[in-house]
Amino acid sequence: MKNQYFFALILFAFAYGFSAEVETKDYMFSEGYLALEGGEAYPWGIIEDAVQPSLYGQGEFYYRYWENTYGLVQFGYAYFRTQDYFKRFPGVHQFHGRVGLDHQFSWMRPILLGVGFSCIWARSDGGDPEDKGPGVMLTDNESEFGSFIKAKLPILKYEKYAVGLNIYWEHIWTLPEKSNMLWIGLFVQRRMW
Amino acid sequence: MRIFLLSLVLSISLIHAAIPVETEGMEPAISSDGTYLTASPTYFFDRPSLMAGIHSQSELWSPDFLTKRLLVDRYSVLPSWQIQEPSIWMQVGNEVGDMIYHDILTSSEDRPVNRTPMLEAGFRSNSFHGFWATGRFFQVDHFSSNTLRINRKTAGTMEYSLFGANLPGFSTGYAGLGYTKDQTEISILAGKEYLWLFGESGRWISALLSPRIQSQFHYKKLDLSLVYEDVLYINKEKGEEGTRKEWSGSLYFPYTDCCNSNKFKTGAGLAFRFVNDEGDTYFGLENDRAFWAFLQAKYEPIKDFTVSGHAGMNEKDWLIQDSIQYSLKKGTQTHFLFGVQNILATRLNPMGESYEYFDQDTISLSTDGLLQLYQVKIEFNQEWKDLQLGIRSSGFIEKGAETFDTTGFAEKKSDDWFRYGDVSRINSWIRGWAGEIEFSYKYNDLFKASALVGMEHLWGDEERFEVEPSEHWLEFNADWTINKTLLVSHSLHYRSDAQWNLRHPEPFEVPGDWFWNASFSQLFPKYGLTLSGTLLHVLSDTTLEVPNGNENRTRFFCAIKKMF
Repeated sequence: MKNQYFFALILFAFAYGFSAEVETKDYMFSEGYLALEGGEAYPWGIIEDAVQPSLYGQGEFYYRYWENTYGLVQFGYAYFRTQDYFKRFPGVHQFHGRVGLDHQFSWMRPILLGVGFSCIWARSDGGDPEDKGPGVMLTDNESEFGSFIKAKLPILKYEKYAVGLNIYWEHIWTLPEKSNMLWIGLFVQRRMW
Repeated sequence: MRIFLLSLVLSISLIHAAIPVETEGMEPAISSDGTYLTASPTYFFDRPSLMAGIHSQSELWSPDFLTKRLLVDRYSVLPSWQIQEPSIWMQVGNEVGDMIYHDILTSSEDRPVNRTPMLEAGFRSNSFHGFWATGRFFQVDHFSSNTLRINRKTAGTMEYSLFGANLPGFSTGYAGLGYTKDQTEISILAGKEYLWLFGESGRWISALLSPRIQSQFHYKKLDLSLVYEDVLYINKEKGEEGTRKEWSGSLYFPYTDCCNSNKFKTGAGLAFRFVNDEGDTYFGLENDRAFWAFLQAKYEPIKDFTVSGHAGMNEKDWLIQDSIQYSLKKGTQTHFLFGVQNILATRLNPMGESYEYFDQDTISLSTDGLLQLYQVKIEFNQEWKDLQLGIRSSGFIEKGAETFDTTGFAEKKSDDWFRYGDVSRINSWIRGWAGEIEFSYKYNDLFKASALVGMEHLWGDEERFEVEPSEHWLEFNADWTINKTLLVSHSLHYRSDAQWNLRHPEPFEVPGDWFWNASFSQLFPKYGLTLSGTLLHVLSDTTLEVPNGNENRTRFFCAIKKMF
C-alpha cells in the first residue's frame, strides 16, 4: 500500500512536470489572503475507537504562486475527546500546521484541488506519566508528520471577502498503523493585497 | 540589482540541488554509491565508490579536513560550526512513526520504539560595514533510540542535551560575531555542545563541551583557526568524571603560484592540538600534544597533465599522498581521464587520539609499520546532446592497512559488545577492483534523471577487515523543476550486504537494502525564500548498520529559509 502512494506521487510529479505551463508573468505573491476557518474533524478507521469527532479552528495565509496555483500555510487547534471507555484522560490537545498548494484546473472551476504536508503536535489533557499503560506517550509531547489532499469550494464572493468550504483527507504517518481523518470546514477569507 | 543577483544565485544553486539532508554532514545516512553505514550523526563509516583502501574516507587525514571536527580519530562535518550564508532558517523533523491516537489503543508491550525528532534554527545577519552576527541551535535526535538505555545510565539523566530528553548524538548551540570585507574574514563563535563519541571499544562516551570557542581568520592567502574546548566526560554508572582543556587550530597557506610559474602551485600548513587532562578522560594524547606540518604541491607541465600531492610529518608519523592525472578531451563531448594515486603513511590520521582507556585496558589507536597503497583509475565520459554516459573503474593494492586486533569482548547488554585490543595492521597485500556506469538525461531545465550501477570486489585477509564493503549498488535520481520555482526530487537506492568483522563476536552482517528519498521545494526567488519538505530512507527495512549503533529509520523534515 505504501509503495502505491509513492509511485503515484512520482507519476503525478512526472505528468505534472511535463504538462506544466511555462509562466510568462510573475504571479508569485501578486495576491495575498488571510482566512479563518472552523469545522469538524472526523477520525477515520482504527482511531475512531480512540477519539471522537471534534470541532476545530484555524487561521490561514493564502497566496498566489503561479497563474492558477495558490500556496497555503495553516495553523490550527482541535480538542479531541477520548472515547467514553477510556478513563486515563478526557481528551487530547492537538495543534496542527499545514503547507501546500491548491490548483485550479479549468475543467473543475470553481473548485480547487490541493495537496501538501501536515504536522501535528498532541498532548493529553491530564493523565499520569508514571502510569505506563495505553496513552502514556501522550502525557508527554507527541508529534508526527503526514500528507493531505483537499478540495476548496468557494461559495460566495463579495468585494474582498469570500466564503466557502474546505474538505481535507489527512493521512498521518503514525505507528503501528497510519492515521486518517476527514476535515470539513467553513472559511471566511479576506484579500489583503 | 542586489535582489536580482541573490535570486539568480538562489535559483541556480537550488535548481541543481539534489535531495537535501537534515543538516550538513548527514549525507552518508542517505547515500548508496559505495558503503555508508550510520550509527549516529557523530559516527559514520563512509567509503565512497572507487575509493582505494579498506578504510573509510573520514579516517584518512587530508588538508580538506583542517577545519572539520575531529571526533576521536576521524574527521566529521557534524556538528558543523561552519559559518552559513546571510539568512534566517528553521527546520523541524521526526523519524516517522510516533503513535499519537494509536497510543490509546496500544498496550505497553506492543508499543513501538519511540521515534525521535530533529530541530534547527539559526541566522546570520547582513553585514553592517562588514560586521555581522550569527547564532545557531541544532540537534539531530534521530539515531538515538537503541543507545538510549545505556546512555541514560552513563549520563545519569535524560536531560543531557540543550532540548528534550532523547540523548541525541549531538546538541549544539552557538553565537558569535564576524567581519567580512574584501579579502578579509574574521569570526569568533562561542557555545555549548553535548556529544556522544563512539570509541574504538564500541562504547558511547559522553562529552559536554562548555564552552567551545572557535575563531577563524582569513586574509588573502592565509587561513588561521584557533579552537578552545573545555570538555567534561562523565560516567555516572561507574562514578567516573574527567575534564579536558584543549587548544587546537591550524595555520594554512592555501595553493598559490610558485617560482614565477603559473604551472607550479604550492601550499603549506601546520595543525596542532594541546590538551590538559584531569581525572577519567577515556582518551589520551601522547605527550598531551599533537602537531602536523605539511606541504602541498600541484604541477601542470603540459595542458591536462597534473601531478599533485601533499606530504606531512610530526615527531612520530609521516604521510605522503600523491597523484598523477592525465585528461584527454576530444571536442567537447568526449572526455577520458587516467590517474594513478599513491599513499604512504605510518598512520591514517596522525592528529587523532593516541589511546582509549577502557576498564583496565589501554587501547592503542596507532601502531608500528607502514601503510602502502597504490591505485589506478580510469574514467570515460561521452555526451550526446541531452544524454551523458560515464564509465569509471579503479583498481588498487594495499599493504599495511590499518585494522583492529580484537583480543576479547565484554557484553554490556543483549547483543551490545565492547571490545578490547589495539589498532593493528594487515601486513599482507589486499587487492581491490571497482567499476561504475552512469547514464544521465536532461530535458531543458525541466527534468533531469540519472541511473548509476556499480560493483566492487576485494581480495585479501577479509576476516581482518573492520568492514567488508558492499559489492553492488544502484541509484536512480530524477529531478523536476516546474515553472522554475517548484522542485520535486527523488532518488531510489540499493546497497548490497556489508559486514563488520571486528566489533562483534560473530561477523555482524548489514543486510542489503533498498531505500527511497524524495523532496519538494517551493522557491520564491524574488524574496530569497525557500520552503521544503523531505522524506528520507523510505521503503527500507529498519536495520542496524553498525554494531552498538542505532537504526536507520524513515524520516521527514521541513525547512524554511529566508536569504538576506
